[in-house]
Amino acid sequence: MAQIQKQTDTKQSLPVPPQPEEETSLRGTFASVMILGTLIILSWLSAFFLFLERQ
Amino acid sequence: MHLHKFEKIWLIFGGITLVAFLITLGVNAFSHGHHPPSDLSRVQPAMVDQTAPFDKPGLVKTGENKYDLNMPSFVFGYAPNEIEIPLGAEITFHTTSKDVVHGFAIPGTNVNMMVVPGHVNSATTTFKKPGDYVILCNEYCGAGHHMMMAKIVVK
Ligand SMILES: [Cu+2]
Repeated sequence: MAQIQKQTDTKQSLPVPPQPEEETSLRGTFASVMILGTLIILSWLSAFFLFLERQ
Repeated sequence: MHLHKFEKIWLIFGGITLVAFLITLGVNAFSHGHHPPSDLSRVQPAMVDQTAPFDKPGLVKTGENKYDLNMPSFVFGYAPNEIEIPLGAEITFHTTSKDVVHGFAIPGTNVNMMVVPGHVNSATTTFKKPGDYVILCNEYCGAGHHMMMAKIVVK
């Protein structure tokens, strides 16, 4: 306990370098972008193959 | 500029997809000749009946299993109104309007043209299945628009 207290104290007293802003989690965004991309590719391919089929 | 790792991945993914779409379309257009219906020739709308090939509407054999089908569009129909086409033949439709803007679409095929007075429009297709097909006007052209159609019998 005492040690932890001491460490915290040291940290606080040191001049802290500016921390880079913490990165936001983009996992949900990434998943939705990939799902949307897949849908776009599938619809494009289905229209394209329909066109070729009827050529 | 700082980019999140995921942002880089989806930007690359989107970029590759776009390039792939464009290359596919380019190869198709330039090496296979797949393009939307088009024609560069023009005609006087009032003189359609006197101008070749529309002075004699109908089927013209142009080669081995190849035909031209010249069909003027008008309010509210096409000439000829019913036509028989040999199965498996490559048909090139040529049409033009004698009056207003019409449509020329054959459901189940890639033939879907806009018929603008003064311009000839052409589209090529091969009928691989026998049966009855219909040519429809899909541009509103007046009171009889819904009755504007012609029949194709493939056998
Ligand atoms: Cu019409």
